[in-house]
Amino acid sequence: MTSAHRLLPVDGSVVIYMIVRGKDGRPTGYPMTGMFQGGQLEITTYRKAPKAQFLLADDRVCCVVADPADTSRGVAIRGRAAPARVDGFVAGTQSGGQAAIDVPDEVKQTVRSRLESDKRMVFRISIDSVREVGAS
Amino acid sequence: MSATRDITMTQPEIDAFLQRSGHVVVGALDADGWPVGTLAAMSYANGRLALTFADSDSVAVELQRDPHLCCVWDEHVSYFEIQGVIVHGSLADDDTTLDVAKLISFDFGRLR
Repeated sequence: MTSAHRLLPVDGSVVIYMIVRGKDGRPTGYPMTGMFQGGQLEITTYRKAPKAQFLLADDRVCCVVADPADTSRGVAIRGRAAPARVDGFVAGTQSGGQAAIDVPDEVKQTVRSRLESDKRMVFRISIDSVREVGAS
Repeated sequence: MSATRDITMTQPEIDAFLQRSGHVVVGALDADGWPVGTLAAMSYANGRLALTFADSDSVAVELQRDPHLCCVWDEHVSYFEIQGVIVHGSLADDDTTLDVAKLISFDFGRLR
């Protein structure tokens, strides 16, 4: 399935809080930029980063997106992460869609460079479900 | 070879961040090991973090079975204003306060 909730753009980026199973078998979490393209969610991280290793070891993931207008509530995306091609992610950063954060051009260029040099990798998260969490 | 810059916050900065953060993402694992997450109200007083979950929150139910959790929150007006914390620990027996095992902080302003 694809994302289908008012807090999740069809195309554009949002801040996600990604929960994964860590090396010790306990939950760990990361704030990340989640890139939606056509309702599909992708993230990028350094290939050597612990979060990349955790996702390669256990692809199950939960990504929470808070409502910017009321951070007591949001949605939780449940899915599985798999390595994906980097070109789609790079194109998405240049699409001009909704942006989660105002990121300086030099930082965007560094991300693109690290993707092209294979230091960073992209994961596509196949979405199983999206449910509302927090205050009702 | 470039040195990695220290972007951690000072303890007073962490205290101030936690005191002004009203909510936090709470992550846990369900009985099958799937990561689950929710949003909970957070308070910070006398060096102790406390969580209040919405009624019948499924993550709170999972924490009754396995109290290990992580809490994540950040502020992100712009890239160099990103500040946040990642807390690893467990929910105490009172089902409210956190026993903190590790706290990681970050302030992207230190990357300028």
